Amino acid sequence: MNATVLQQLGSDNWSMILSILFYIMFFLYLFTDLPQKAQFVRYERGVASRLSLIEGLIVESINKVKSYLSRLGIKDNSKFVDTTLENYFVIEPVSIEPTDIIRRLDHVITVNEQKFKNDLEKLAPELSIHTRNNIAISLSIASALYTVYKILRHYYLLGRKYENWVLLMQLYLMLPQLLRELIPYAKAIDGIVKGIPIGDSVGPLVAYKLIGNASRIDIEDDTVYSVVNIENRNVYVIKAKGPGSTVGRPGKAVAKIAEMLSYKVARIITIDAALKLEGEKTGLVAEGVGAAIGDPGPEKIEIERIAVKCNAPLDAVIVKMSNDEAIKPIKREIIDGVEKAYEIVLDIIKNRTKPGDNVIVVGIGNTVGVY
Amino acid sequence: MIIHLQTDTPLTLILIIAVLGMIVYMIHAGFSYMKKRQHIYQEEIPHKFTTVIKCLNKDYSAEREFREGDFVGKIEGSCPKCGNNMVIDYIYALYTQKKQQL
Repeated sequence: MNATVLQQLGSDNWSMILSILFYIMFFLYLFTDLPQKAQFVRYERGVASRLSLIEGLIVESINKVKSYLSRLGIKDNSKFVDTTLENYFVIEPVSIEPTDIIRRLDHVITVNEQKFKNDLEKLAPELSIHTRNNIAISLSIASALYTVYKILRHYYLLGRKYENWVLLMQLYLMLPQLLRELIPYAKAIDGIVKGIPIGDSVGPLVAYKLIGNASRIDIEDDTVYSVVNIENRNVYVIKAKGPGSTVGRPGKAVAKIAEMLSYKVARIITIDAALKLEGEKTGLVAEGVGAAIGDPGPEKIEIERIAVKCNAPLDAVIVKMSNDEAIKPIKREIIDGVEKAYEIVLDIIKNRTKPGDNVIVVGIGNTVGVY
Repeated sequence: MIIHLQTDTPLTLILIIAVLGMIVYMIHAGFSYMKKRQHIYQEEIPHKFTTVIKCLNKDYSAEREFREGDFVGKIEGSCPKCGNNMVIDYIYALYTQKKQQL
């Protein structure tokens, strides 16, 4: 029966059916919003599933901080953590009038840090400064993750609200990369609370290798220096005060030491972790010129100003690593980089300064787990 | 049942090829999208933390597993060779690859 019907259709009828199908598809594709609607649903689902993964990361990191605070015997920690996640933002100073912008930026950063430290001290007055610094950094990691999540969620909901498939498409394409970058942040909290050095600790590690267990003298907030003699050169080594998690104020410390030495400084050497490009090896050490420091501006400009005032060459020694390696517990390859950076710093001191010179060496970075 | 399509007109042939091409493209695009969704991300997880202790005279060194409270520069007993102080020289992590679906 069916065969008879099909035979009756004939080749002309088949051709007609195919033509109609083709023209319907052509019309739907070019003259309706159907492809965009289909893409919208696809992007919306993709973004929603990845956002839920990020939400899981936030919950994981917040729980880690709360359990750490509980282990330290801090009661009512939930309220404190929740308040911290929403508060402590910094509004950038006016930039259309650049006069004094660095001083104004430094002021707002300092005020914000001080406010947070005071609140933390009120919460746990019996804890050591190092433990409080570890709590502060763990909380700032959780807070950074939460802020990124809130921004992504904002654009996702906006895209859904106004059916803006272009916005959702951008999120859909960006989220896998963002997720890869956010996962290490959540994992980094484990290392910080245990007090294990991270990739960013290369500067303080090189500084430690230079000074060993020589006495540390407080010079700035969370910042210390030690004086060592290397082949008759007076080497002033600055680092953040360890072994708690802090970066200190190396720029201000350089300014104070230079002033103390009546600006008779022969050389300033900075050592820091630097982001590697894709394809570059982790732990690669490079030497250049300038201030190797990645702060928002106030500390870096201080080092540059002092170098100009003293007419001292400014050397930068960097150890390369990826973004996630900088915040995760330090790898063996980066430790090898620390050894090489230490050799380079020694070489600079011995070969580019004269006996009797004053040299300032600054180990930039987070000093977690490094005395 | 065999249907013999009489493809005597070139338009019919072109249309059949175009429709089949579109169907093949859609199936291929669907499969590649599914494959993309199952993309595996290799995440590095620290599985072991090692503490390296060295004698201040640099004549002896030892490695042990990290204990909470360890930090670089911490004095850890005396050297079995010369009796001088032993200090934690390095702490580092060994990583393992873990597959995670994004």
